[in-house]
Amino acid sequence: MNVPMDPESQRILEIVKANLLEVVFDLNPDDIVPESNMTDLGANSIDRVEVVMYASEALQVNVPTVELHGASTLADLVEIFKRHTSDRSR
Amino acid sequence: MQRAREHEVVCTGGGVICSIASSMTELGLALREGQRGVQVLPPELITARGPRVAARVQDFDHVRWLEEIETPVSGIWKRARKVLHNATRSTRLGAVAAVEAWRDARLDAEDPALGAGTGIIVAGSNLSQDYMAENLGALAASERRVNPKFAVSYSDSNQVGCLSQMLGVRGPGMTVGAASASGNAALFQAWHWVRAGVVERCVVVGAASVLSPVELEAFGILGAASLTGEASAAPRPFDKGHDGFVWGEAAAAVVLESGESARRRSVSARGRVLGVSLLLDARHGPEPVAAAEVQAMRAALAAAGVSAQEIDYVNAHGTGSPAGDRAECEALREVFGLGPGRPRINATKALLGHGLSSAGLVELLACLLQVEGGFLHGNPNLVQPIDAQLSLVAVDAESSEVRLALSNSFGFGGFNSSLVISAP
Repeated sequence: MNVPMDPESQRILEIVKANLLEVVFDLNPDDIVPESNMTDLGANSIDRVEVVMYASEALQVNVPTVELHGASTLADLVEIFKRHTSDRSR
Repeated sequence: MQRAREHEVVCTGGGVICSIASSMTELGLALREGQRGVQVLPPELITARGPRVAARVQDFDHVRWLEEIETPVSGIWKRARKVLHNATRSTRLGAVAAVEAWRDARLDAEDPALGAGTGIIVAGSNLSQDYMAENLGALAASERRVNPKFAVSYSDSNQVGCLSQMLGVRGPGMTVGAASASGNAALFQAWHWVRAGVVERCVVVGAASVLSPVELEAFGILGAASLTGEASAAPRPFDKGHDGFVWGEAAAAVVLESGESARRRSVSARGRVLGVSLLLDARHGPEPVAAAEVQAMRAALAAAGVSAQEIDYVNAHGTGSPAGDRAECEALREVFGLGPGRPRINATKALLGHGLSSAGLVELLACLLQVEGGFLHGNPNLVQPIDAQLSLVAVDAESSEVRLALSNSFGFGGFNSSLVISAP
């Protein structure tokens, strides 16, 4: 299950994680893994929007909200962000 | 069928944060010593025609405050840290006042039965104008984005939810708005709830009105705010040199509770709230109406079953606005007359400014602390009284045995409210 991430995915995950810790505030960093679901970690609907918004700003991408609906884990979110960062680099 | 008995309403807890105090104990000392919190505003809040001074809470850090009063393992501490993270300044100020009142009343946030019998009323509307201005600015500057939390946090009623989560309260809750009379209006509502047995107790929070430069500019243009540049010169309630109110950032909270509940929990009362009134004057503007103020005072006395002659002390609305001060003097003469035994009068806004939404709560606490401490605070800028026949306390505090007090709050929009309190 724990597939090692490539360096770009790892970089994006760290950005998401940092923002999640900032927004939700009382999380244990060790509990945040790629398989985590933000809701299960205690993020409410506003917290989730904030995390995505701040991470998008940090990554300088603009992800349409509709694309985010399919993401259930942090790994899914990282994949979506990665698609947009690579779009931009082309 | 027997009519339901009306409950006695006592105050079992208080909490406050303002320019001159960050606890009940500090407020009692500051009032007695006549400390004043007015300072020159920082440049970002000074506008072309707005005020130059205000009594704001300096160096407020809600985390530091919580660490002083709550042990880091308590449920309240944990929930407050989470709820107040990224919350508005008004929400944080109100929350620390509420937590102090909650602890003062020796309530347990982890007791579900207690939470079910408790209500919350937050006094005030348009509380986070700083936050409105900040997000409007973010929207206008295209490179920045609006905070997603704004969708929830712009609404004052979010403060009710934040408090309920922190304190584990599951009874009724709402905000109550009546401009500068919001505090008394919230107490009016809570008093009726406790009296009728709708709740066993109610946390009433006078939330801080945190202004932006827009409100300050408008109050300046309207002529309601003092435009002095000298922090020691204003406000001057009931003094001939009065030229308007001074904004005093403050939050204050009380727990109103039925006498039975307080006795059952073996907690002592800080005082009793005997009667409250709230009356409109059928005019929506900022102008005070002395006749309506008379009606409000008489209605509160009637609700309390107390005569005007029995009142020892009046905590005046006394903002330092010329029109407001004149109307209140006229109303006080009408209700109390000028004979012997007339009540002593002071204005707490002379020390810590006008909290707007929170004023009624701050002044209720001032009444309770003065009754308890056996003193009346001074009116520090009262040099030449506009009405020499009224029994105004002089510049310095005096000792006094107050048993019955009346506190006035009047608000733009035609809100007139008084409350009558007594020693426990």
